Amino acid sequence: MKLTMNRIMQGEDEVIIRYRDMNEQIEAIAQLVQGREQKIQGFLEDQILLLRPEEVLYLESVDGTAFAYLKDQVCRVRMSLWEAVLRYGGRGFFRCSKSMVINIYRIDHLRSEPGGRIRAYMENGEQVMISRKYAKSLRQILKGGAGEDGEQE
Amino acid sequence: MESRNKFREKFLDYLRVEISIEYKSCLYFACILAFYFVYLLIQKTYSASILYMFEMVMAAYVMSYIQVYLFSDTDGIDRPGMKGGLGIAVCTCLYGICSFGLGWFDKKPLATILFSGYLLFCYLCAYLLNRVKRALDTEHLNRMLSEFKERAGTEEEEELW
Repeated sequence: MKLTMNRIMQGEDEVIIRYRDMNEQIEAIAQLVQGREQKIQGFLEDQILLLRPEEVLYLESVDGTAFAYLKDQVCRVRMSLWEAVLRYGGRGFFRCSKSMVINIYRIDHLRSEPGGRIRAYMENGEQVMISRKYAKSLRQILKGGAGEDGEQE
Repeated sequence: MESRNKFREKFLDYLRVEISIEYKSCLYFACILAFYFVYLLIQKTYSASILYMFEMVMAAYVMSYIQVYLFSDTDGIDRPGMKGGLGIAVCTCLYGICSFGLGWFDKKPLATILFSGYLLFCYLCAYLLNRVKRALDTEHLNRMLSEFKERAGTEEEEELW
């Protein structure tokens, strides 16, 4: 891929992508420019992993430490659940209980439970129970509206 | 602040249970009343006893409390299980004893047996209707989930192109 860069003295910084066919590389560049390619830093033993938000199925807080659950691994993250929802709420991160945040896009299917609760079956087979309080908010998000104030935070 | 929130949550939980008992009592009172009216109509009696109706509504409340607090609320569970089944059996028997003891159906054994059977049927219907309601809700939720995923996919594509 040819790279051409021009320095400008006036006006806003601009990136123009000229492509023949849209492919993953072009898509990744576009996402990077749009600032959507924010990665989550995960710690797995002595390794540092850079996770795409889409890779995370859900986050769980255990004794004040947040863990990110991926399809087949679990790693520690230096981010509070509140912060995760704030940063990645637009990318499907949803607070489903006091100690959990799930990625709506990684839900395989949902099941209505007694008492207004919802059981979410994640893509890795795990089941997450969404309490009545948060279920209302989830329904609103799925319908296309934002969650109720305070509940999504 | 946290203790106030906990109190609020506990209060809301309590309120939720009380509302479900209220709903349950009204539902079963309506069922008992329907049976009572049919019983009277069969005998060509066109007036009902207010006292009996008061006893019926009180019995419905007591049974709902017994069922929810001592056993489990079968209207809102997936499978009644041992405890739920026992709750239904006990409450049906208690309703039968009440109707016979208080003379709602002129202390006729056949009417009491039919009444108990009818209430058992009502419990079954309420349980099945709740299950159907949840199955429909599940379908609706999954449809919304697929639409949400599709919508997000389309928005992302539009942004890119």
